Amino acid sequence: MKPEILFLKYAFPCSFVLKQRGEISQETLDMLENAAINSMPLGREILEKIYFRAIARMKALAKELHKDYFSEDLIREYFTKRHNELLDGMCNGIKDKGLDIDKNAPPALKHLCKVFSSKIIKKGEDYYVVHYDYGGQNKKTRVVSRSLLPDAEIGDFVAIHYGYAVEKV
Amino acid sequence: MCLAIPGRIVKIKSNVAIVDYKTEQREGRIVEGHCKKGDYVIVQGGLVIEKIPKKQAEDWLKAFQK
Repeated sequence: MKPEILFLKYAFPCSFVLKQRGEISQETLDMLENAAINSMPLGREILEKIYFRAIARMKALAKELHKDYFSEDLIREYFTKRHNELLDGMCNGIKDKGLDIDKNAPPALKHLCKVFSSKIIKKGEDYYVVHYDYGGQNKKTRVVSRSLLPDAEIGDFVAIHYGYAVEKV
Repeated sequence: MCLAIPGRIVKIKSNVAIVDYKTEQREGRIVEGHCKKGDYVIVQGGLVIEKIPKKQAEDWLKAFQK
C-alpha cells in the first residue's frame, strides 16, 4: 500500500475532530473521506498540512529510529505504538505541544483516540462489531464502520481507530 | 491529540439516534448495545460507536466552551 493511502486510513478517523474544532471545512472532510474510502493517494503536502500534529510526531519518531518518516513501517509504528504511548502520558521526555490541552481529557475519549488490534465477531451491512483486550482480562466491544476496510471477515484481526476498521493486522 | 467532542442523544426513532452537538445535529444508527435519550455518544460514519460516561462528557464540554 502506498504510504499516502496507509497514512490517511489511520489518520482519517480523527478528521471529524478537526472539523468539530473548526480546523477544516465540511468540503475538506468530504474530500478526505472520499480519498480514504477509495484508497486515493493525496499529495503529501495536503496531508502534512491537515495532520500536522501526527506528522510532527512521526518525524520525531523517525529521527529516533533512523528511519524515513513517511514509510509504511513508520506510519504503523507511530499509529499503533507511539500514538497510544503519548495518550497514556508515557513519553514525558518528549516535548509535545499538541498534548497541552489534553492532559485533563476524560479517559473515555482518550481511549477512543487510541489504536487497538481487535477481532471481528459480527459483520453487518456497513459495520463490524469487534472485541479487543483492554487491560488484563477486560474485553471491550466496539462498533466500527466498514467503509475504510470493507472486505474483512468474522475472525479477522483488524486495527481500529475511533469508529473505523483501518487495516487487517 | 484529536480527542472527539461527544454529542447528546435528543431523540431516538426506531434504531436511529438524533445526536445534538450544539452547532449541528447528526444521526447515528444504534446497532449494538442500548442507548437512551440524554446519553452522550460519539457518532462516526453514521454509526453510534460508543457511549461516553455523563460526568466525563459534561466536564469535557465545559472545558471546550471556555
